[in-house]
Amino acid sequence: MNSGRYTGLKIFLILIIFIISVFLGVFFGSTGSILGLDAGFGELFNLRLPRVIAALITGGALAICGAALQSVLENPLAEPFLLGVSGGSVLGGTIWIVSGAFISDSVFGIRFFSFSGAIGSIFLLLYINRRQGGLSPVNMLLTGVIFNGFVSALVTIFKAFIPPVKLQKVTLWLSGYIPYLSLNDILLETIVVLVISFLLVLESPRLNILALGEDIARTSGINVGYLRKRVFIYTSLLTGIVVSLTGLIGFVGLIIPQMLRFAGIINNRYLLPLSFFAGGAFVVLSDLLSRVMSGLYSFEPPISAITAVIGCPVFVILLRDYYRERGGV
Amino acid sequence: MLRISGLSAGYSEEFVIRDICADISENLFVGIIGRNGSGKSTLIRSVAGLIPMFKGEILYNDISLTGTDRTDILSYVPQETKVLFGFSVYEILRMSQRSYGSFFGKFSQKEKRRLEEVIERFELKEILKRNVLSLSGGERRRVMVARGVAQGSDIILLDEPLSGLDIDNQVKVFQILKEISLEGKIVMASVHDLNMAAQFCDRILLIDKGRLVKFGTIEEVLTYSNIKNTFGIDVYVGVNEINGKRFLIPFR
Repeated sequence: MNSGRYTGLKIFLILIIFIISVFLGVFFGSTGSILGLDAGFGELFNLRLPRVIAALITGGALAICGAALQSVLENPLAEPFLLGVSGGSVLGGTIWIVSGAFISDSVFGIRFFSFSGAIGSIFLLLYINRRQGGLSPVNMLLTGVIFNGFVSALVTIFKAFIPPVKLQKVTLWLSGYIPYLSLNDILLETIVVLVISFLLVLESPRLNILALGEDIARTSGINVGYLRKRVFIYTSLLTGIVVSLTGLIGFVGLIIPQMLRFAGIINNRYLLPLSFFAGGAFVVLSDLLSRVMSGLYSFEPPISAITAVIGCPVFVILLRDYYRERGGV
Repeated sequence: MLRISGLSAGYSEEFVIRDICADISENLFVGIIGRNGSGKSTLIRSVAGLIPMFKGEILYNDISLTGTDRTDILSYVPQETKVLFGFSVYEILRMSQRSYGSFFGKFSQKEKRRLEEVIERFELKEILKRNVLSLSGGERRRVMVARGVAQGSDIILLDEPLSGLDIDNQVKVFQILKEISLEGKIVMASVHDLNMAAQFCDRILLIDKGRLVKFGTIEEVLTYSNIKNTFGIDVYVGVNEINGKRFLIPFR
């Protein structure tokens, strides 16, 4: 597909998909039945709408982070969980489950601890990278991967201390879990995610120039070091927020921006906002599927499994067509 | 006037070029020649502000380039550009304009005209909507040189702009760079092909092991002894009767 062609139509289609998925997410119940058969308006707005919003900001944030990081790390395979912040977030949550397992069962505990873990790891990673004259892509990736490895080892050790009943909770959270919350519970997260995502979109023209290489960006008046640092902080905050809210939902950050690029949306000005909408729609639909399955089989598959089962084959098909058309990257 | 005085630069405290001095006035197309690893790229990159200067000064119209925003003063065309994603050729050219860098920046009439001019000059109309990743190496190089020129700066620095181009494109690119220099700009390019330098450049900057051997006109620099001492080869230096320019043929 040629870049830049029919952009208006593509934007329109993605927005339509987004609206339809939100509609389906809100109005379809756990058994796949539509409004009225198993739900009243009360349930709709108090339970399902917040859950759909949580799914939406999770998918949106992960996808927009992936899109931005792929530019800033100069690597099309980059995704938000590579930075190490997700690891910090998971560690925070696990520490809470280990210690708090005996105290209370509050959903805020896990969110607070895991977000603190994310913030702590942002500072730690910035500190480790401080001498590099503003975060080089290689260092960011290496420290992220090493940090994640270290942290996941710690999580494994901590798991030994968790009573079996609670262990399932950790496992569920680690593979992504969208909770039923009230609108008030997620109001703050929603606002922060939208604001930071907007700030990321504002960086998009500079991310475009950076895609031509650091040297060209620097001689085009861009302070590449600060740009990288800003994007690192924005994406880390977003990742921290959504991991603390819904756990680790994989593949969204990697495949959604790539799918949009396969569809010819290359310019970050469009790619970033559309990644948000497409990622949001993707997680909302995956969550719907998970809920329907839980209604039918009384087992709710982790959302990460669904995003992977749907996402990976679609991705491979797109990739194949892409190569067939182009004969190369 | 671009004044490079006593410039020493390199990577992490290791000197690559030492004490380079050259005064380059407007309307000049300067070719930088020297062996592989002699410091041609380092010289260009340090003037562009991409690597730290250890000593010396770079002045443009008596204003030091250190710490100033160089975007309007100079543009840089790297030797190799790995474009990460498949932008269209037009989008890449558009990125050279100052208004592009900010999200709400408006594309001014002046910028639009400048782009149109560059598109015409580099004969890019046909490939304007093409995906840059689907272009041939030569086409892509032309686009990247065009992007550098489109920035509209007074000084254009190019690192090996001819590498990978066939003879036809080599001549086209150098012809355009020559024209641009005559419009009051300074063009500096590192060149491997001594004959191309002899045909198109106004001044030659010959460096060896990071030090300036000679900066001057073609006649002053491209001599048998300079080439023999720098490159260690014998060349026959002749004069092209048609245009009076020098040419060099290596012999053994």
